[in-house]
Amino acid sequence: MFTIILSLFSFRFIEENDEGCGWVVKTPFSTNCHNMKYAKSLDEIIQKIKIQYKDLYHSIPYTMVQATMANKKEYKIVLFNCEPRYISMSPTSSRGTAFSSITHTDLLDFAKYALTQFSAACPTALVGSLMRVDIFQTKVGKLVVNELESLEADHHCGKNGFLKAQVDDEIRQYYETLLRGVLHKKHLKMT
Amino acid sequence: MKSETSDRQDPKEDVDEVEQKNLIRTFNRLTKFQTCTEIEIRIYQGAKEFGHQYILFHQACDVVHSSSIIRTVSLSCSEVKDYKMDEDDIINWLLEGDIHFIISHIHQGIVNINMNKLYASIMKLHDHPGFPVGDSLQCPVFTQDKYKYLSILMSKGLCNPTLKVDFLPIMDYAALKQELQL
Repeated sequence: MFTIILSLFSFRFIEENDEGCGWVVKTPFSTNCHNMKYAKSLDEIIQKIKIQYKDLYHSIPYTMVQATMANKKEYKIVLFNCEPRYISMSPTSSRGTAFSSITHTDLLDFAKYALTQFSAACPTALVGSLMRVDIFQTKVGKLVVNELESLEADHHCGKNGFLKAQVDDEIRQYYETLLRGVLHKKHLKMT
Repeated sequence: MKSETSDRQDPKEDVDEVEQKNLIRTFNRLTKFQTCTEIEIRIYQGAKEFGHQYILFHQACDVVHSSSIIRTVSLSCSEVKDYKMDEDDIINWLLEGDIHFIISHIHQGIVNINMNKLYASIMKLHDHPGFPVGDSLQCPVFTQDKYKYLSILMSKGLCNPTLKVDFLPIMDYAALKQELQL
């Protein structure tokens, strides 16, 4: 008999993390809310996990359960080389109430702090180029990271298009430096 | 497409496998130039022509190309599907170039890819010239192994409390329900 292996974190998970808006069952190895399912009760959580298991067992090794945020507003902070640049204006970021008591500087600082902490704990992580830190605020006002994205990070910038153009230019230069470095390492002829 | 549960005794499966290998050989021929004096960079680009960093990467290649003889060959997720490539085929294709570059999440847009198999196979690129290489190939943001990076953030109180539910060969949902309530 196989046993369910759950993290120690599972204890009292439902009771201690309820935002009053139900739960989201979401899978790793996906973007754009792909495979994401919402559940209102414990029974529904189990039902959604069963559906994902049936569809995805041969592809992915696990799924995740999180509380659905009471405040649906999500800030997407664009960073380059761990330095925050701007808040991305994605279509989803207009939902929910703004974090009125939080200044944008605080948001940018939190994104930088979270990414720096992650990178310190995971020294081989690829954080030297474009990164996006997606941030929610809990019902008690705490900022939390919802997701980190790199290669497929949408980083639209609304009216301040020059900020995106600046980051795009840095991504281009990042790849150029990488390419030259790899070619140099291979002792290939460069003029 | 091969799967872990394939019945190797089924003759139809053997035919499919031969067909799959032929398709991959055809693809390799299509992407191989007659003269190979240039340095070949094999790129996994994700969505055909629309990967988020596709244009920026190619602009960088154009700058480098002005001072070095390189040529680029790209593989998109639609080609992975069309040529029925499996996890090893994708990585082997990248290995066959002089240099590899992965500028999109490999698994995205492809169904029936086994993530454990793919990200075990990707380690074959560990010492191959390109990007990424080494242990960075297992960067959880690059692989989108979300729980792996969330658990790091969670330990520092920086992310939403997240419960991981492993997909096991046999799931005990009654026990899972009990655990969630405890």
